[in-house]
Amino acid sequence: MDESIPALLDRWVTAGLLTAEQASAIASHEQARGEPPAKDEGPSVLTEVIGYLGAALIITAGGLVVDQFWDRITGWGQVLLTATITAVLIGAGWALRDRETPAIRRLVSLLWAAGVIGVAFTVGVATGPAALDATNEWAVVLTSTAVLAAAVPLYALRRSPLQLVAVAAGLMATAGSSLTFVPGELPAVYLGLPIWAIGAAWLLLTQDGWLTPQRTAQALGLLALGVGAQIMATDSEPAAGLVLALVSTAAVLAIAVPTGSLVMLGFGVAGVLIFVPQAVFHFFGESLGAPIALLLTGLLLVGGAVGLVPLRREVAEAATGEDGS
Amino acid sequence: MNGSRSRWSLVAAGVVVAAALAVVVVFGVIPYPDPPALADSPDPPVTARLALLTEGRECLVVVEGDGTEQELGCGSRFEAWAVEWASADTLELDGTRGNGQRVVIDANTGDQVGVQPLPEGPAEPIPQNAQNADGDVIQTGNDDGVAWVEVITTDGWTDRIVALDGPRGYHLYDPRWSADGRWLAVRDSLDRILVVDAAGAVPVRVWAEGAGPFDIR
Repeated sequence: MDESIPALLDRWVTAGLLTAEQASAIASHEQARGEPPAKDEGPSVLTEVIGYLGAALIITAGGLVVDQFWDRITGWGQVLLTATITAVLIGAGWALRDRETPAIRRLVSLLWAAGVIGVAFTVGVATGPAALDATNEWAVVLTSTAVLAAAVPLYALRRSPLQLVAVAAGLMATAGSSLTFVPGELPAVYLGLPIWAIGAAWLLLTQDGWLTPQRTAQALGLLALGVGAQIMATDSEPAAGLVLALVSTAAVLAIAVPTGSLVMLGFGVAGVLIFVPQAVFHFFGESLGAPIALLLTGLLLVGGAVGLVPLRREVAEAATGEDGS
Repeated sequence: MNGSRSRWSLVAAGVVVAAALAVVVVFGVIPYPDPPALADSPDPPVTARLALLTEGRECLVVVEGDGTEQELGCGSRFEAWAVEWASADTLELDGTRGNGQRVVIDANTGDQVGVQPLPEGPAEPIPQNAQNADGDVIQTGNDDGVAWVEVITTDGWTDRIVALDGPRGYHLYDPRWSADGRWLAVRDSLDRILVVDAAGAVPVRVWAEGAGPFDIR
């Protein structure tokens, strides 16, 4: 049976379910939305996997060959080689960017992610002892800034998870490496706070749709939030870090329940498991001890799980009520 | 996600990051103490000498009481994990366990004037002079960003002779007496060697920077 939209509309008009005007309006509306996305007419998943495997083997073999004569190449020759490979990777992705089949889209994402890694290698070699001979601090900050500068436009062109991961990695590395310019030793609480803040800002932008895909963006923001708080908690005075970690965990769980976000729920539970025992040991020390810390963590998790059921039901009922009204 | 983007979220994200950076700058980036260099203000001159291995333990350097430096030599001959004045004109370098030697060096020319085997058994560093001839002991510490040096006399009296304000984590350590008990050398967490008048009459000054193992005579 023909299941195309015009055929369906004809059948519904014949059956008296729609008027001819309604059918025409629906047809116009669907036409205005444009053609449905093309089906994947490229290779099958198995073929794609075999293709990637073959490419990985070729890259590995190429890497081994290059490794044999790498030391015989001058510093700037090494830079030229890595820059050429990087340009080929990004250029290949650019050439394929307009093809809309899923397999090609994945390939473009992969090529551009590899291109960003190539940028890191190129700048790393350029700032290394064989070329510019920059100090370690400058080498790291220049490399991470270059990664960020390459990742952002590629993400603007293709909002895929891999491109978003590249942006997050570049951003975190740039922020972290910039702090190495602070003279002396910056206490851990001040190293972790900017990372926590970037995570919080990242989540705000994700919730409002600036950063997509949403799940990947959420996971990256939550990861930064947790890592930042954990770094703060390694300080010689960990109280501020632990309080921030607990507040963050509670906030993440509070958002996860009504929104039903599994990503946030997962990170929230991980936060309880990681931070509650640390906080109990720090604030109560020997007076409570390990068994009480574990008991408290377990109770919080069980309580959370029990609390989730009615809340989810309330949310579902509210949604049903709104639909029915 | 509703997919609608508002400027509010951009502003809020910017405020969060800016607030965090403000906290880091205001409370984290506190300037380190910056005492004058001894070479810039040698008056009154320090009546002691400093011997040190540079940070990478590549070179042996002697710094005079007026801040002038003399490099006695560099290279594997001077790779050691401890240095000590053996007399007014000789230095002892403890080699690594690998070469297992205590080398005696002329403190004026850098020539090797003797060599002794290190004691058998576990590595024993050259004894450090945290106690002077009178039995007074020096100790260092840090309270709320104030790095201090105290002298504890044999009668139990404690005298805080140095107190330097700095960021949290700034500290002084590895204090040594000069042979005459008049001066102290102490390392700070920026790997600078500070010279301190034990009587507290002369302000603290930076004697050397980028120092590895050191000793004062």
